[in-house]
Amino acid sequence: MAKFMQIPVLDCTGFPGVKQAPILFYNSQVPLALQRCLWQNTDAMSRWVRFIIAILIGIVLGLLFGWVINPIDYTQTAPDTLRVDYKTDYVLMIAEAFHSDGDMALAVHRLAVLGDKSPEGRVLQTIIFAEQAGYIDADLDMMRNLSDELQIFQNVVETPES
Amino acid sequence: MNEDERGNWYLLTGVVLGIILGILFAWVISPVEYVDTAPESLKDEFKAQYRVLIASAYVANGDLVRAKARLELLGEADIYMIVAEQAQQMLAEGGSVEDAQALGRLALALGQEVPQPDNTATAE
Repeated sequence: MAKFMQIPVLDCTGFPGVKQAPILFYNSQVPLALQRCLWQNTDAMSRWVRFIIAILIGIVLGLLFGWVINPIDYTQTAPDTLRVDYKTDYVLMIAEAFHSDGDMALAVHRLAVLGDKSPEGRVLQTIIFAEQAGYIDADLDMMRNLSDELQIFQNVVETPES
Repeated sequence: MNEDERGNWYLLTGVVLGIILGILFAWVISPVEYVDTAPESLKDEFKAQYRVLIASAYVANGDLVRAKARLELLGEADIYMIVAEQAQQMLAEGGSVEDAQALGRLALALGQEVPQPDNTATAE
C-alpha cells in the first residue's frame, strides 16, 4: 500500500485556467487527478480532430481537382476505349481491308488494338451491334466473312501439325 | 504554448496536405478511366494507325465519301495534308510500302477534291 502512496499527485497549478477540483481519489483522501488536469490535453486533442477534418476537406478538394476540374489528359486514349459504334466501324475497316488483301495475320494484328477480347469475340460483338444498328448488307457480309475466315485461321493456328 | 499563441496555421497545413493526398489519389492511384471515347481523342500513334486503316479500306472499296467521313472523326483540320505527310514520312522511315501506297492513293484522291486557287483572275 505504501507503494500506492508514492504515486505522484498531479499538480496542475502551473497551467492557467485549470480548476483544482479533484475528480479521482485514492483511499478517498488523496487526489490522483484533478479536474482538467488528467485531461489537460483536451484542447490538443481537439486540435488533432480539427487537423484531421482539415485534411479530409483537402482530400475532397484534391479529388475534385484531380477527377473533375483537371483530370488526366483524355486526349491520349487507345482504340480499346472507343465507343461501340466507332469500334464497329474500326472492325468494318479491317474487314474491308481484309476483303481486298486477304491478309489474315494483318487483320488479327489490327484487331488486337481493340482490347483484350479474342479477335473472334470482338468481331462477333461488332456484328451483333451492326445488325442492331442497321448496317447495310454489304458491310455485314464483309464482317461475317472476316469472322468466318478468322475462325478457320484460329483453328489452323491452334491445330498442331501432324 | 497555448492554442491562441500557436494560431490556426495547422488547419491550412491540413488542407494543403489533404489536397496533395487527394490529387495523388486522383492522378496516380486511381486516375479517371475513359470509356466510350471518340477517335479524335486517340493518341497520335493510334491516329496514325487509324489513318492507315482508313486508307486501306479506301483502297478496298474506293468509297471516298466514306473515307472522308472517317477522317473527319479524327478532328483534324487539313486532312489532305496530314494523310500526304504521313505517306511521305512512312516511306522516308522505311515503313510498310503497302500502307504508304494506300495513304498516297487516299491523299491523291483527297487532293483532287481540294479546290485549287483560281489563277485566271491574276493572269488577266
